[in-house]
Amino acid sequence: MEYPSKNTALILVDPYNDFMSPKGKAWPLVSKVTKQVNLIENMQAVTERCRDEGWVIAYAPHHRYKKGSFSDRKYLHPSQILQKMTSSFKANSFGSEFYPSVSPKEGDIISSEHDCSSGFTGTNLHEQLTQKGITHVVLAGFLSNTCIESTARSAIDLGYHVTLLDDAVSAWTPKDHKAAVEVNYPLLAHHLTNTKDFLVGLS
Amino acid sequence: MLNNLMSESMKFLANRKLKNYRRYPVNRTALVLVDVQKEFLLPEETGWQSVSKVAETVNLKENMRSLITFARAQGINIIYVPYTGNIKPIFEAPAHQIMKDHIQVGDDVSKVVPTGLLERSILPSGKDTIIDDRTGLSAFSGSSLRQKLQDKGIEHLVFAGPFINIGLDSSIRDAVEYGYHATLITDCAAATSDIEYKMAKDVTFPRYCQTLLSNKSFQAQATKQS
Repeated sequence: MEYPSKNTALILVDPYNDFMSPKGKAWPLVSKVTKQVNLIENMQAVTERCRDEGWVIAYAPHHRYKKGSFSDRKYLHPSQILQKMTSSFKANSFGSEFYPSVSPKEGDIISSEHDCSSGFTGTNLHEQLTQKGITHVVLAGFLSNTCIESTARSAIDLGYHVTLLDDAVSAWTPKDHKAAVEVNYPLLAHHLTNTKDFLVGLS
Repeated sequence: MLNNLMSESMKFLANRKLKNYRRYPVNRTALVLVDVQKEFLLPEETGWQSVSKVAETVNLKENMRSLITFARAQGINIIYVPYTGNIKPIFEAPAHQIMKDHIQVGDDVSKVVPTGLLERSILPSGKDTIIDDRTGLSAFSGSSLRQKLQDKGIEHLVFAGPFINIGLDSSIRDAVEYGYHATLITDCAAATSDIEYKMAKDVTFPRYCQTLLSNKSFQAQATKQS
């Protein structure tokens, strides 16, 4: 797969300490799949390599929870109910900071926060990518079947070419992960691959 | 083990809250039929053949007929959102290819929506709405659906259609994001394989779709409140 380097962005979805650090609130839920697929090392390798390629690096961060979050919504997304219950990704806390080894650098795109699942819905991500002439996106991060898949589905409907990496995403359970990467991703991705083959393909 | 236990506990806790959403006042409820069109419902069509195994297992057509008839009798808004030749992606994903393979016509939406060949109860009636400007997998993508729902004051969306992990999945994710209460009628949905249907219904949808009900349970719930 050849990517137009000036028109391709790596989008990192929700790379927060709460998901990636052993001290994070959601770590006990995601650690099993995260370790199985070697996600953290894969995300780091992909991010470093895409920076070397001169690609745009974009961050699609989840809503940082604060008192009163979602009070304007009558019907909550299941993830919002859980976020209210657990205060995960709490604003101004360790959990909602980007994980150090994949944190943003100067010049990266940091989108406004998404309230539910898709990195595009209700955010300025599409606008920022469009301003930079991005046509191709590669997704990595959390969770395989919720935010990653929702972001991929939005990206497809917005007209992007979408690459999904089946070992640079993670989920709560192996079954959730499987439902996404083995069943739905093959229908959605313009290019579905793994970290190793993706990196080799860029060589 | 611990991980599965935590996952199930979280799902249980969320569901306790979500049960309060299950109300379907007729003037604030719409039945949204995604890809419910002749290509995917008539036996001689390749689209039907692609989903027929799962569709026959769940009794899709009988349930769809029952659901639409019920919605009409109750006065629930019915909205058809067919997959048409207007959907022309710059980069074609495998899902687009699957849909396109079975669409026989170009841009003429009148030929894409259910025709007289279908049973009367599944055909759109004069009161139904047909959204013909959809541009993506989601019924909301590029379309006037959201505006029409706002104009009608709709809050509860009840979804049915032949492709649980293509059009229904994208549409329901958007519906929940936009603040609606989304309900999937599980036996008014199908897929091209058993595993796609089962994984969507049992694993993926419960993570983001607030309500999953069988046709019978939905009708009982909606009747109880009317």
